Amino acid sequence: MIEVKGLSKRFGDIRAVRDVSFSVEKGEIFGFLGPNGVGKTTSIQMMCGLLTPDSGTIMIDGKELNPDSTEVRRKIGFVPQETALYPDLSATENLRFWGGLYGLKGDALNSRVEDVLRLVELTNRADDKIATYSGGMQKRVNLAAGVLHNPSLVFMDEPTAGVDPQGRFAILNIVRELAASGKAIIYTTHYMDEAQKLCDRIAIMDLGEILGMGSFEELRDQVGKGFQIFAKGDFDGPKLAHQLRKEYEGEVLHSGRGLLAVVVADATELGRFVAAMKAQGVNADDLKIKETDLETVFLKLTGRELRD
Amino acid sequence: MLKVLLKKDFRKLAKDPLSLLFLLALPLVITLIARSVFSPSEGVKFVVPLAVVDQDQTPLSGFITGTLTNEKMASLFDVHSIPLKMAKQQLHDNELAGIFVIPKGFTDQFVNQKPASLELTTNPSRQISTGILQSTFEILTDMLDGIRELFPEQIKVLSEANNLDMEAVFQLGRSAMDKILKEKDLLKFPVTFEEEKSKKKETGSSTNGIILAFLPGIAFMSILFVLSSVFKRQGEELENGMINRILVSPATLNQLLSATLIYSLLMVFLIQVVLWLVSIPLFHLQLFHILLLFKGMVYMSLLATLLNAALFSLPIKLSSIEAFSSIVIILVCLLSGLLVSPLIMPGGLRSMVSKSPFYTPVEVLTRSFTNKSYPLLTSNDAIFTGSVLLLLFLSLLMFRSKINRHRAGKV
Ligand SMILES: Nc1ncnc2c1ncn2[C@@H]1O[C@H](COP(=O)(O)OP(=O)(O)O)[C@@H](O)[C@H]1O
Ligand SMILES: [Mg+2]
Repeated sequence: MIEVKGLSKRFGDIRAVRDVSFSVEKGEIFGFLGPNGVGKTTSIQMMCGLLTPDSGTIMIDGKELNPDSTEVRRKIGFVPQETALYPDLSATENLRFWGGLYGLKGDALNSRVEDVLRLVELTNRADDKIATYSGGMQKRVNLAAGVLHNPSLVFMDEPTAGVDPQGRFAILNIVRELAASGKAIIYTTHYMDEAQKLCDRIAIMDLGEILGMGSFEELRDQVGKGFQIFAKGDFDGPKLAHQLRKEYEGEVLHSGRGLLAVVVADATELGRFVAAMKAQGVNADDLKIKETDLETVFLKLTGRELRD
Repeated sequence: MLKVLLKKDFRKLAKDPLSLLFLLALPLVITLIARSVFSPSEGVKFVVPLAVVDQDQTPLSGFITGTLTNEKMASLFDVHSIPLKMAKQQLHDNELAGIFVIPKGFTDQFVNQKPASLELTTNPSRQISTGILQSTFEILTDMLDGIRELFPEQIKVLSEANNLDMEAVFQLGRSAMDKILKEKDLLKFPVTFEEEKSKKKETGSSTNGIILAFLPGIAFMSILFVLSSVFKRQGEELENGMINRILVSPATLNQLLSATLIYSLLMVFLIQVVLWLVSIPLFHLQLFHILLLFKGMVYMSLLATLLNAALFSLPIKLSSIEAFSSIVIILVCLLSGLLVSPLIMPGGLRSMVSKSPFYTPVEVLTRSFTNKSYPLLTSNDAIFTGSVLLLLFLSLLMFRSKINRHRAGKV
């Protein structure tokens, strides 16, 4: 559906996107995972034709992206990071406007508006002003407006940012439903759990680059199944790691001043590691322990926690 | 596409009646202020200091100067009969609003059915007085033309007489004058809307004048409207992702901006019509007053548009542009004497304004556009309105290039 090669963009001195390549098939949910400012929005805007790339190619359905072509624009759905809706208008009025821009009118427009309102479960509030909606509801209408014209490729830029867990759950279900209907979906998020649960494949981004790409299982294999231990305290990370090496088996993901991140394979190893840490005078309260997940992969790839 | 975009704009407007009310209230408030300026009974007493220089020294010229000092006019003009040189000095010192000169040989030319001219020099820093003078001047010349038209034979006879009897010319002028005064009540100042209309019909000139007279006002309103809607609203939409979303759809940037322009003009027309319908009976304002007022506002808007366009091309955040430009616009307008005429300012403020660097250029500009008589629309007005609309268009183009630069990541 879409194939991107060597996409790059700089803003002055900032290299916002560097050499990004990937492809997404019909029915697939492809996730860009990374904290704020790593170039997710910039990438999406280039793929929608809103920004001109400095270099790289974007092929949609085998043809190079021509942002001026109406035919191409009809294929693309865009759910911007911001809630781009008119707050004084109702959901129906907003949707009718966005549908109108795609040439929908009359019965076709009415039935599409009804369809997407049903999809986002807002039929009963359809005639209320957007301004009276909760954040989660607004995001749902925002999403509905992006898929109203039935595009085959949908870009969603952090559609759950700032939404409470319940609201996020509802949005994820909508996205799954859209993918099940055959749309290719490119989805950006800084929520690790979301990428893990929702996306068929994930690209981990940092400083404009894709550092790792694959399904959740493939990515996790980079660190193995097991436990992640993250220690912060008053110690010299590399030195501590060296001393502990005799006591346990595990992989040091990252170490630094007052910082040590380690992955161990199972509960036995974990127990030994914690005991050794205590022996070295590290306070148990300074240890964060959890099963390995995308966060661990991110930590390994970037040396940073996903949520700083 | 334009229809879809416009429909959305009007729907939004319908949801926000308060802003529409505000748009209508704003010009009405300004008009109300204007009324207090114009009305001698309620506001400032308004007398136009005028020098009359009679170089012709004939009974006809004496009659003309006499009309300016008669009791009907005394409430309006403070006439000084002084030499031209002195008058020029006083005008320069802003002590006079104008100098009225009857040049030597005027009576000869007039009586012999040749082009005869009177001279009026106005003080550009006194806009209101200038308007009044020009109107009066126009009535006066119309009147003299009327005399010639009504009594061509007598004038011919007189001109063919070897020895021109000035007394006879004077008598003739007087009787003609009385006749006209009785018939048309022409000297009842200011000229009313209806009189203006009927006069125009009689002389067979185009009735478009009244409609054309709306133009400067429409231009003014469109600028104000576009300033607050295009620059602010489009700016907001650019920042909150709305424009991005529109640009991903089949709608193009040109369509988006065209729709905004059309919407603004339609709105302006609506507001304009309502304003005129309401203000004329409500404030007993006459075409003359409103035109005078609107002209000043058009100049003000011109400044504002230029300023916004200039600010817009700078890499400043949209929200700060708005706040910054409003402050500058108000300051410049105050200092240029366009928002409030220096005439009604207290002394200290008046001298400050007349010394401000904005004052002189604006007044020179004003003068170059106002030296034709009210309330007819002059070709200058049309040119001016055209250039204001052109500027409007240019600002939109700048907005367009701003968005394009934004898209190219250069902002
Ligand atoms: N229009 C722009 N002008 C200059 N810098 C920009 C612009 N848009 C984004 N950037 C910069 O590019 C980087 C990537 O931004 P963005 O793509 O918005 O990240 P994300 O969406 O992942 O949070 C950031 O450092 C941001 O400051
Ligand atoms: Mg972003």
